[in-house]
Amino acid sequence: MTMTNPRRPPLLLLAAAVIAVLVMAVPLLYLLVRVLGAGDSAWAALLRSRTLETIGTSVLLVALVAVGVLVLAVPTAWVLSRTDLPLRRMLIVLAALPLAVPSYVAAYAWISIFPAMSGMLAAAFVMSLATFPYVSIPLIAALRSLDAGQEEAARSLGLGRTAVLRRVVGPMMWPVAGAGLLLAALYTLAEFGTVSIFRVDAFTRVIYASYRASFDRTAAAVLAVLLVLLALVLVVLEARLRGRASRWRTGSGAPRPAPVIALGRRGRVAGLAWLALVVGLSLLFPVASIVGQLVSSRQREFDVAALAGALAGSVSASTLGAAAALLLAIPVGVLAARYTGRLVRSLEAGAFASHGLPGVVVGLALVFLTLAVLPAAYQTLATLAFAYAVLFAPKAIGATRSAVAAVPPDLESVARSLGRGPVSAWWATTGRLAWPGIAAGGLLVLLTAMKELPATLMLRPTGFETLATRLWSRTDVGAFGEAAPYALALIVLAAVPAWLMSRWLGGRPGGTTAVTDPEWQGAAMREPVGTR
Amino acid sequence: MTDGVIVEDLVVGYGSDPVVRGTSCRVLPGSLLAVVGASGSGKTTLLRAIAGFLPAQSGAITIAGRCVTGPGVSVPPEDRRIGVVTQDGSLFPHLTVERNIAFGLPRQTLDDGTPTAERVAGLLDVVGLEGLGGRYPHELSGGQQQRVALARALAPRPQVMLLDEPFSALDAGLRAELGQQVRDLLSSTGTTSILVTHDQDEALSLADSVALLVEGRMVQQGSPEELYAHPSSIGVASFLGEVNLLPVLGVAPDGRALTVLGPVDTDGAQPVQPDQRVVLRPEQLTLVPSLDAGAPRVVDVAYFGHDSIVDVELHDGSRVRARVLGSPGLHPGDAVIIGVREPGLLL
Repeated sequence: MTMTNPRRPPLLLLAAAVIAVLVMAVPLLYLLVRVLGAGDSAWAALLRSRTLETIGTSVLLVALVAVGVLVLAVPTAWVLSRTDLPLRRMLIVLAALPLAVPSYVAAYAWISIFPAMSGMLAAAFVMSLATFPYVSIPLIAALRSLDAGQEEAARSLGLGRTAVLRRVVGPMMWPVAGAGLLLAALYTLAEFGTVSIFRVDAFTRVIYASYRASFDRTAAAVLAVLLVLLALVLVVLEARLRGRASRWRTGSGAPRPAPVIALGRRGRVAGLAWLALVVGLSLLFPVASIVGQLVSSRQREFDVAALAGALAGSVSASTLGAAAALLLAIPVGVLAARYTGRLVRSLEAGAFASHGLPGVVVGLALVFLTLAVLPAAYQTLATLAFAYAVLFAPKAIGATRSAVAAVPPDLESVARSLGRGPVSAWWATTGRLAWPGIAAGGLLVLLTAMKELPATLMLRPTGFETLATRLWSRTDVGAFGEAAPYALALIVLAAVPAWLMSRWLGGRPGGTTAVTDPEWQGAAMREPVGTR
Repeated sequence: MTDGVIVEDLVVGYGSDPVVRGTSCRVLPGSLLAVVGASGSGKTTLLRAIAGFLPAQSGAITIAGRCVTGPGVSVPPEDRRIGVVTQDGSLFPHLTVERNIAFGLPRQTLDDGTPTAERVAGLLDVVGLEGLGGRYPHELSGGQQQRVALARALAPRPQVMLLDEPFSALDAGLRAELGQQVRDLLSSTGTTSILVTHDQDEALSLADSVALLVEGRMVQQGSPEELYAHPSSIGVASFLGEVNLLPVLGVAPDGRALTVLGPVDTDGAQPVQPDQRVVLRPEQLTLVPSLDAGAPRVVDVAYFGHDSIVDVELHDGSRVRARVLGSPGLHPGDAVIIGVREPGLLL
């Protein structure tokens, strides 16, 4: 029986999905209205030399991070996929873990040891270390799944080892690496905490500063729209490259794994040294630095009440945000999993468009919106939760979609044939089987929202603190010891989804390892590095 | 006749290009109809329309005397009293075998007062899975899963059983064995059934009646013997098995058809026309070694153990295929005399 239901979707489901997508689009639309309505002053803001400088700074930062990511990721991926390096399995997992360290936490870890670190190069250095797994993880998977047959065919046609690399392996790998690189660029563009800690006047920092200097809010809005446009370009390019990368898989049947290159003794030492350097800088150093701060600051006053308050703040705001995100995501996800057609496609695309939205943009838009339309909602928990929902609903949509799609629609048909009505049949089969996946999506949103910084700073009620805002304010005043418990709590929280994901997917029938599993990669790809 | 299933002028699909385009067929009560056709011929769509999973554009479906699809009528699947078995069984993965089978039954006791558990145990027995009721679907083999799917579909005593290629995911030996068992089970319970398959052997060996669907239209329906021996068209003939098509070159003085094999007996119903062709199945030909150097020569032999397929090249360069029992005792290059065992069919 056919897998997708060719029937038109139920009207109620369709209406719910349309409303959800419209609600998600509200902040951005309002921002546009605001900018267009500002008329001449918007043009003036756009044409200032400061605008051009900001674009230049952000583009340069993104370019530096891209270079850094390639330098870190390509050799790492090659060594871990095509050589006989010892401890490969463990190293593959370790080299993916930097994704679990929010980049502003890493930035804090570096600056707390080297207080002089500042500027473009420092930011690019930390961002590269935080985002290189976006390229190395898919590259490892792609290199490992490459069929030996293609390389052997090229060798039999007279190509040498390096020529094969250049003319066969390289062209097949670049869309994979390119898609990962664009994701790293997207997160760099949206990152707020790191650029602020290192005082780089990239978009996010300038927008936040303009917003704080409340006389210049049109400039903030203009820059926010420009930032969204830049991010949109990256999102579109990424989607295109990803589509191309998936086309390289040819033929059915199990491919023979490509041959492994024996490194020899010197090669092994060099390979291990390289990985020790990469993992050390990206993972071990930040963790050690934070633990060091914690230990050395023990004699000072340790404010348990403040930590508990921040944790409670993070949990309450994020839980509300996750619930709201699920509310928006479930109709869109169910629709996308079960029905096709132009309307369904465009609804799904519309919902996913907000997945590249920087937190600072949503924060700014909701500040404007609440002040203009509903001042009572300005800086309330509800507005903060709504911001989380808009920012992170795409994660829940992805989770809902794949959870529902994994349930064969035939089960529902069979339940109908056995006498159940449409709703009862859905609950007994699809609903029953998909809810763990949908709940996991909600959990992912919850844990991601706990790390959110810029929108939280702008929208939180006065006096309301989360782990991220406490880390931010303590770091801002140079109180590194006081910031350490919050940094550690954030790392632990960030590691939970990665761990859950690998356990959840690793335990599935088929026994694919988490890191090489494309679904896990998909989930990891949407897991933000920093503060969005 | 009020029992069984009647499909009349059914059109299913969208707009001007429907998948099922005006199909009619009839299943006698308690009998098994096999619907065969190439992939894309609309056979699964037809089945899903009978089940009520797909709406019909026009036409009517009657199950056990009740119109379930027709002008202004569309009974939802849950009220049609049907059983469905899909290609992969579609067992509920979160329920045990017992709870899968009991899914369509009342929780405690059936309408006739039998405890539900007793009926489930009885069905487990019938499908040969005693003692496996506590297992989960993933702990069963493919064949066992299909048996559970069948038991689950039989549990509410459906008026018609719809089988959508239920054996195609199984390996060849098991497929034939399970097919026979299911057929026997369905006929012993007197269940009217429709089996969709693309495997003509399965259709011919299991069904009481076979219907061939081509591009959404029912081309011919009849008993297996009728369809195989008296196909209404060359398309039907070649779908149900291999054929040799010999153009009629003329009419012999005795009225027989003249072909490259010489004069050939044909079913004497109609007179021979010059633009017709004689249809001969490979098993209708016989081969005898010849000493005549000018005789047709064997070009290929495929030996299957129980029988062999021999391709022979004729004087005019065309080839015919013969099926002989066991080993043919022939090799490529051998000269043979071709005989015709039974009258051919003129189409």
